[in-house]
Amino acid sequence: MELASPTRMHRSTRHLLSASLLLLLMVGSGRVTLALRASAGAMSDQVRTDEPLGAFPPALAVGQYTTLADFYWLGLVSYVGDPAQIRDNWPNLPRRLELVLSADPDFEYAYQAGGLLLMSSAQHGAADEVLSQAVERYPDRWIFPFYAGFNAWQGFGDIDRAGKLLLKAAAIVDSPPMLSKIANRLLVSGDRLDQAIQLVEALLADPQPPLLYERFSSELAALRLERDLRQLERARDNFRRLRGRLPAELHELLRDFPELYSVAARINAFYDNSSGVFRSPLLPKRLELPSLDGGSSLNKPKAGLE
Amino acid sequence: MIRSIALIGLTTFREAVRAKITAVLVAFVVFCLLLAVIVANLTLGWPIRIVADVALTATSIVSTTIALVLGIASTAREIDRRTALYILARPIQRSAFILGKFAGIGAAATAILFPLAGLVAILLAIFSHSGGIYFPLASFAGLIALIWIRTIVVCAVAVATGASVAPTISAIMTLTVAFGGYFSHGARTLLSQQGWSSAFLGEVIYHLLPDFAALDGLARMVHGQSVWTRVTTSAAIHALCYVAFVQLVGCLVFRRRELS
Repeated sequence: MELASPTRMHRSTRHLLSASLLLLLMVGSGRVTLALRASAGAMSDQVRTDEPLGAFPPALAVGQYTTLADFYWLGLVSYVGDPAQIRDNWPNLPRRLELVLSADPDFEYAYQAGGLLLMSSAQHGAADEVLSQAVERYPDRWIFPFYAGFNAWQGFGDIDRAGKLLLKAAAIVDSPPMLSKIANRLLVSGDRLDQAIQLVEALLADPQPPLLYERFSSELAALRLERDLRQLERARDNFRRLRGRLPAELHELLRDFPELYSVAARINAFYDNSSGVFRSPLLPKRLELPSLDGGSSLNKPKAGLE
Repeated sequence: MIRSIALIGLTTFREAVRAKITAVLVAFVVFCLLLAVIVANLTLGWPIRIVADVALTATSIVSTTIALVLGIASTAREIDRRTALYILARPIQRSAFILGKFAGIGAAATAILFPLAGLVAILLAIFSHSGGIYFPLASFAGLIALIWIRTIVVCAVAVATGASVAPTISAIMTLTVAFGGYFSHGARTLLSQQGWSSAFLGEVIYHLLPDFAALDGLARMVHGQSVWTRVTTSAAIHALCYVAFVQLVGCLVFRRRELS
């Protein structure tokens, strides 16, 4: 066995020492970096994810702009999942969403998920902007006017616009049948019964597929019945104001308001003199919509009738 | 002449397929496919879109890069290093050299593109959960055909310029066509609004470059629209004419080029 010469050994030792020193330096600097990052804490994460990295002009994506939008979208998903941003309600979400949609204005899912995320973070103005764009871009997708209507109601309390948008959603062929009911109940709960009737009449005036025609016709009938019942209820309130008591029976009320005979007959009205409530077998369930606080906005027992 | 073209084409094809850069670029696509799978699992909603976008973008970029790199390497560098002189010393026409090189590189790029497209189709089938490729088969096939046309255009330019000028200049010219092709229509539209001289310049740019923007159907496929439209067909015909024209000019320049 050949023994290594002292010079060779000396060289090997030097190499080993140098390598060890470098390894130490590498590990040490890594630890320092980690420590610095940890001391910066959430701030460093905020710097990393708070602001979009900057718009890359879609024209420079050499035709691959859907892929560019995908990368922006992944950035948005990562931003949405960041605990610090969740705590702050995603302040830069509108800008990030704008970036995605500027790269690919046909990214349908981005409108849908983005609109929902904005609504859930109470950024109703931005949500309205995004959803309004989607309503225009996808006229055959009921989900966008539905979301936009919900946002108008929840975010701005704009029942007129919400009702219009929900009815617009209901007029789209593959929309769920309950949409027109929700729209009407929303308008009715906001004391916009006449407007609801007008909107449904306007929808029926346009040529509609048979299924939708049937759906809207039954909704219109329900709205008219509700209007008639309310007319009787108003007469009951007037009766109480004049006489200081509730009418004992329906005929007593109709004697004072003879113009309502035809209305009561048409809807086959039934009067419960113990509660003072009017019902019709043609409308088994009165039109009402649960309010945001979980209660009901309609058919609450009236203070004077309790 | 046909026999010479076939012989040069076959040799070039073998060299191109065996080249290390080809293996590296194919490995890059496979890496991108894996990346697409991972990223698609991290996204919110519609993962198949991410898979389709990333996989097809990688396939498109790599097939174009293969055409560009191999096209320049097999002509410009061979001429620059004088190795082409061994072939040209034989009774072979110079145009046969150019056309053979183009056929060989084009065939190699095609032989790489189609298996990669098959791989992408398998990946899309896995992600669609329906056994199909989720997008209409005609759209997918049309998109692959468009990528192939773009690749062939770049290949033609790389071979023709590689035979006519120095390798660096050839690389710059081919890159200009490969990237500029996406802006030719945009430049024409923009310049047409600036006065007659600018409009004329826009027309010149548009006709000097292929219209790659019209030959890109990825967004249309992803959004469920038809990939092949009348515009696409017309742009494809334009591109194939462009290939023939570039090859002709390349042959003419190369015939007069002093190689000694």
